[in-house]
Amino acid sequence: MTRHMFKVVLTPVFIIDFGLIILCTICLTYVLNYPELARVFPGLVLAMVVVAAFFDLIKSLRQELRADTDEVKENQVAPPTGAHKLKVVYLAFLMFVFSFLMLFFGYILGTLLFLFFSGWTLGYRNIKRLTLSTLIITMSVYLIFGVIMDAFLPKGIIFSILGE
Amino acid sequence: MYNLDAWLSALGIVFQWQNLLMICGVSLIGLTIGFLPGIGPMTALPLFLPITYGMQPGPALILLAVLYMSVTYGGSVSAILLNTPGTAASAATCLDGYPMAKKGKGGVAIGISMMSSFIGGFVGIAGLVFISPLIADFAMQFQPAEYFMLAALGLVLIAASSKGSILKGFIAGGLGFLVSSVGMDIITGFSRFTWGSVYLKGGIPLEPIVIGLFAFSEVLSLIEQGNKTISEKGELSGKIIEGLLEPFKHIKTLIRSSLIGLGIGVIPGEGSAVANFTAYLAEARSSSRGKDFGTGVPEGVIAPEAANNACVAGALIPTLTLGIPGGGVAAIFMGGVMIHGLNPGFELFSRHQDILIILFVGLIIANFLLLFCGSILSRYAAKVTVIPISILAPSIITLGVISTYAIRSQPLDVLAAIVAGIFGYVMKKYGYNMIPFLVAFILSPIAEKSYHQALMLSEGSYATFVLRPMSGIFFLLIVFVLVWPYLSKWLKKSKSDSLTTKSSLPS
Repeated sequence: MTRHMFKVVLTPVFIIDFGLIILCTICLTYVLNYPELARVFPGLVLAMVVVAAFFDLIKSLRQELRADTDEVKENQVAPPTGAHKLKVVYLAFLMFVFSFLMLFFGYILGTLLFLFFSGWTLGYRNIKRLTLSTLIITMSVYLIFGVIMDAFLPKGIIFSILGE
Repeated sequence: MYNLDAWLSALGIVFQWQNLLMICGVSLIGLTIGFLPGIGPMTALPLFLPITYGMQPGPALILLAVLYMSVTYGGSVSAILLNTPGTAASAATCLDGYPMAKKGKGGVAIGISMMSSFIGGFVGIAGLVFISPLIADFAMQFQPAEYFMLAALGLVLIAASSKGSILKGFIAGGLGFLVSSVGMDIITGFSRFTWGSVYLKGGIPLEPIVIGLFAFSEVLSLIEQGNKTISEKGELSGKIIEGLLEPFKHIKTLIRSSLIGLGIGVIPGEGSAVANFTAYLAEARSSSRGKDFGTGVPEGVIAPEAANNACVAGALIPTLTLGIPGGGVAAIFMGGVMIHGLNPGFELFSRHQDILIILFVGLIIANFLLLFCGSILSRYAAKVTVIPISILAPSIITLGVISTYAIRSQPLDVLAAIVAGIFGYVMKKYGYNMIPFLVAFILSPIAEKSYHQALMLSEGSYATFVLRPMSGIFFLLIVFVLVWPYLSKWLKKSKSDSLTTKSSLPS
């Protein structure tokens, strides 16, 4: 029974709702110190989120308990495999890496490195096509933003350090 | 209603070669994006939002609106050829489009879809041109109390109609309000939720939020599916030209479905996907060939396609006239309107009518171009869908990161977009729709300002939100939208209970 409850409590929706209740309650106590006009709106909204998250949590718990006892999970879509979940984490990590690469090496070098490396590690093995697509995408984006829009693209911290 | 000179000068502006080239280019890009299942206007528009920064407001709005239209146009092609809708707005098109393709009439179905989209698009644009000024005139009478209640109504409608539960819609909306309130308070100038950060003091900008929530999170979902390419390659058979003429044999279907699409578009929260299915079901019920629907009948393609394209322009009506987005894409479009310093509502129709007319003319021309380009490009749609995801995902990330960075050259904006992307992915995965989040994020400053102004005008009396005639009506509508799901459930239950009691009674 305890194990069963533990399983129910550890569902993602429960964790999200419970986390939101805690976070919003902390924010609410913080907001109460704001001047009156500045606290009314966020205070009301925080209270609304706490109430909604509480009811959603109860609802999800009831659904989970019912689904577990009735064993009616056949309609659920097969969850993604561990490898696919890992790919999501990896891609999210790559986004952070790209933003640093771009700042450090500048737009062109950073993008070339990111596109080639990510394409390769995500499973594309045709080097010729990968190189070509990397070049085309880097240049097209540069053409749109750097040339047509005349936007400021990162030049690379490393080059400014080397230049000095 | 409109100034004739403004129409003539708008024609002159839209027919400048740069603008025509832009419309052509965006139409082609939009159609190509539409062909790709899973990548819809919610992913495409955020990526293009920053590109409009350096543009004049008129062409900038044309770019966004044409992109929205063209992605919706393109979405039907993969629905017909691959049984996988390019966008949710084309989901009902699969039901008869794919059986037609299997019968060797894929080209005919695409032709039908293109012509129906064209006519539906025109009905939508006509609605936008003629209905909008009437609503805008009506909105002129609004005071802060009405604006506050209208913003609340918009949010409630979108939360209530979003996929998943209403509670989750409200949680997402509440979080959108909170994220929007980060930074200096508009009334007191007090810093809220900044935790001492200089970056947060200026508030979190709209663009990183939009790009993160809808482009990055979509890429993560795409990777999670684990497919190597977006879809299998489909075959195109049959003549497109035959299909282009077919809708004229079903004029009633065309008009009825276009009007359904327009009507649904005007209601905030009801998007093209709802219009697509409603028109299909309405047609299946009213047609004499109703039982053949689902086996590949032309009306089954005409109805959903005319409706979803009429809905595109229809969704812009509340967005432009009341500042209440008709849906998720319309919310992004509204962000684009506000980025250019324009305030939706009566002001837009009175002071910036020239910009609106440029938008209308641009949409009309784009509608012609989409019919032409769509009919030609569809032949190659099947090839586009086999782009490897391992190339597509990093490309979208690159475009998103550069788009975000290019706006203010602020690296922290990029980080904000990535965090928003991960947040959006996690929330969507567990049933929290992110459209209420975006709508609340956009409406929050308007709602908060109107709330304080209304209280100041009424000397602190909250009754102003209920007792003024229009705000009172909005209040009642909010109550109705909130109570209706429970009320309808209760009514159904009591009806079935009474039937059971009747049947159990001895005769």
